Amino acid sequence: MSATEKPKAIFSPRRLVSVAALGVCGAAFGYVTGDWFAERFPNGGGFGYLAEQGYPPMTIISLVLGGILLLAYVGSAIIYALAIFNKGIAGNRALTGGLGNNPSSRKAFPYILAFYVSYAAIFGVVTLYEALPNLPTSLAWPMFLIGLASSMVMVWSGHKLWFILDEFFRTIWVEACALASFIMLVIALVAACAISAGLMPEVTIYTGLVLYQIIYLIAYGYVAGKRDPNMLEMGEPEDA
Amino acid sequence: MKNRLKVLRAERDWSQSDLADALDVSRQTINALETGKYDPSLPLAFKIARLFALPIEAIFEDTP
Repeated sequence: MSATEKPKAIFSPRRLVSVAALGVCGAAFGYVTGDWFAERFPNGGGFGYLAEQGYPPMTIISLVLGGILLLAYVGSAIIYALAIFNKGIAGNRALTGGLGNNPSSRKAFPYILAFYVSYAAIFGVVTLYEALPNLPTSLAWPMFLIGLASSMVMVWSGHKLWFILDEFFRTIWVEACALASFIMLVIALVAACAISAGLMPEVTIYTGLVLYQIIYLIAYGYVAGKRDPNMLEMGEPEDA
Repeated sequence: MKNRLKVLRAERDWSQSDLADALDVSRQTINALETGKYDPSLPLAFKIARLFALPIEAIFEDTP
């Protein structure tokens, strides 16, 4: 695009058609899978099973969402592992969280991989204990050590990433963290009041952790989308 | 804050990647600067000014 050309309109017909097509595909997928689950699990499937085991509804929702998040982290780790070797995947900014295929991003991929692997490991341990709180005590120390080692790798890789990525990505990171933390603080305060007043049942720290992660992902998408208009383009964008 | 980065870059026939390499930042940073989605830190603004051999005020303009 030349320097004098007008920027693309946000609501271009092509974009509207793409969003509409995605919406139709999503609705069709939801209908088909929902129908399949309803037929296959007339008593609620996993939800029904967990309810029969005595899990409170909030814990069941947290475990399902936590399981989806865990899968997403493992999937992200696989994508970043592939991006280290495959330029096509590295250049797909929608897959690499807006990083794209440039020197600083390529340098960052191994550390992001380490971050996601360690994050998935520690979150997996926490999810396991939430799902099966009566695990044998002989597993306590190994599980704790896995969590401790994973958190140390997270700190190390996060520290490396802070200096590898440039100030633009650091700004997005900080703003997303600040926004998510503030929203979570307000929710935690309101929930604490409601629980103390007996208006809602007690929730576990795990539920709060899952909620925070979902809020952070939304906050990151919002901040990155505002700052980087080409964040979700499949390839490298044209010069603005 | 408005800036003349896109014009200055076009005058030199540089791509966003060329400018990003020269400033040691990502191409996304240049894209976000040019589209006004992101204001640079003071060190980066000085770096840009040095690269184009212009004072900062000649590149960035404060808009109320």
